[in-house]
Amino acid sequence: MTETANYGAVPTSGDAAIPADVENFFDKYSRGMKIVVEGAQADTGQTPKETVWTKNKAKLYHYAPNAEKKHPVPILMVYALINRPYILDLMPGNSFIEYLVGEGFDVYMLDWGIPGDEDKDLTFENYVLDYLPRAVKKVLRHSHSEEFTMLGYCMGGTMSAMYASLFPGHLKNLILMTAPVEFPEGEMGLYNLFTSEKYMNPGLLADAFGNIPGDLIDTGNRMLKPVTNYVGTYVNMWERIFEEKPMETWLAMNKWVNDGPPFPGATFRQWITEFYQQNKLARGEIVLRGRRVDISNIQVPLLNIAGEKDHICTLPQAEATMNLVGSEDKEFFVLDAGHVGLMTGRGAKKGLWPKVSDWLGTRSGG
Amino acid sequence: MSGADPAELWRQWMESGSRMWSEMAGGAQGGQVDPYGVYRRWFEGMQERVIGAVPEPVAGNPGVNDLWRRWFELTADSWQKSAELNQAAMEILPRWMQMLDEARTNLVAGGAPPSDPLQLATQWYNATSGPFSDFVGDVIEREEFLEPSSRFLQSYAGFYKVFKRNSEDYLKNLQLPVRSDISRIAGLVVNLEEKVDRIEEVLEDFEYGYAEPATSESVKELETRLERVEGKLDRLLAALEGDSQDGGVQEAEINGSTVEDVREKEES
Repeated sequence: MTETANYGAVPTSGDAAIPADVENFFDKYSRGMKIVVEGAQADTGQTPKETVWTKNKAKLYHYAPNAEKKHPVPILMVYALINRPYILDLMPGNSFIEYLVGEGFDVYMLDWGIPGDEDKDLTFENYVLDYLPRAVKKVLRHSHSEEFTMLGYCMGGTMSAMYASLFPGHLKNLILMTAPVEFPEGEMGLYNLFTSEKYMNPGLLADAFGNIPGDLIDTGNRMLKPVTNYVGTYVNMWERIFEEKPMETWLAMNKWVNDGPPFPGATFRQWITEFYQQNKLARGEIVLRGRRVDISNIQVPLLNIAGEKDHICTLPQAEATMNLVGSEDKEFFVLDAGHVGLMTGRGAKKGLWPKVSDWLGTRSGG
Repeated sequence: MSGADPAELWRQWMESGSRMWSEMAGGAQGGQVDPYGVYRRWFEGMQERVIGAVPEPVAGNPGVNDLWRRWFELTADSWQKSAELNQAAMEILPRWMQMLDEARTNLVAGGAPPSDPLQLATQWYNATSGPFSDFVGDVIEREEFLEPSSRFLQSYAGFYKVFKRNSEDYLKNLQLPVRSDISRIAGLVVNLEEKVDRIEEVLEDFEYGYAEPATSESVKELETRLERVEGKLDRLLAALEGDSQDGGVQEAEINGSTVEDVREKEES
């Protein structure tokens, strides 16, 4: 008797040793190979929005309300310079922004855009002292509000913390998600080695490349979990294709992972040297155009979110913020998830999203 | 005829993998085999041939010859380091064997191997990826991995920089615009946009009341005050002219006086 492989619901034909539905097999195989070769294609960032301000490559989006505005205090989301911000609005039904808009919040997001060669000299001074205050002003005018909530994700959280300590006026609440504020040696996992002075010379890379290529940054991140990232992802893909499971989320996530923009060279140099290697932010030694960034100046209510399995911003890096800020109303919320996993998927819908909505709901008026 | 038994395939893979590593380890311990000698000799030969074929540099221009020489030196050095790295890899052989053992335990715990190749592959990945991931994590943390990786990245960055500069110089000599020219123009556009943005900000401040613009009421009030001042000045002038004709108030007396003093004198 012949053994027949079971490629989904594949009918057999007599004693043939190969699957009867060869066409079906090759169709799935070619679909998988197309993704491997051409990259994942998916429609992302589909929540209706308008651009209310632009500056250089940066864009400020306002998301159209699809429900009654229950909370007058608007939310400004600030994303990192690494990766694209549409992870916050991945796809319909799996979008943090769509959820918040549906809960009656007035949501804005600052997209830094894709830097060109002419932006290689942009630094944190430009982002924190020029772009962010201007974007905040726009949000306040557009929403006709006197106060706003700032929500920073990853490195965007670090920048939001710097902004909050320098410009406390008008800021009502601060939410930091997987935002590294302290960079303690020995608490950063492999990043500690990858970014150490012994092995990494950021000045040399910035000098050579101008902007650090997105692929280079991506490789560094993937090498933290090489087997999972280089092999596991595609094992998951083939399994989904051959078992005819939904592919939409996988495609959207894979598109996002491979869509990293270049990192402005001067900012990269600052980020690695002053933050990772010298841990200046937590020590209060970051100075932007003569203005010292003192995290203890943050007095507003703070929700600090971290992932237990996060290997990009480790738990101690995020937790340190709790001791540095001057806020009395502060909460550290830990999820059993990784750096990106806490933002998307079933776990996020049950864990992160309702938490943020509840916490903000009592602090955003209405 | 039946298909290959997956359990048998797995057993063969295990055995061949273990045998290969054992043989390599045995050879390394002997210290008589240099498996990278062939590559090193090849690269040294290439160095001599290629550098010999490239014309000598023109005075003041290190150019292509120097570039090639540096690249070959770096590459040969990388291979040498690679050989050393692999020698060091022998030291982690026990860790590799432990990983294989863990993977085998996981596979056995999964029950009988499925006949479907896809399911077999998935089961194999699920059983082996954890131990293999831990093993790779251990290797990545080692100096033997980090040091050459760092050197490679720095060498690559250095080579990229030299190559970019030389390419731009070459294209500039042909009077062709290069990427840096375009970025320079883009930079000018960004600066211009910055100025427009500032103007927009000022106008918005005005529009939204942050600048507290003058109202018609405040302007009218100012006019009234100005008229009052004008009237006082007129009276002051008139008093001065009248006094000088009458020989009353002397100019010297006015100097240093306030307007009120003058008014009092005028009234008296």
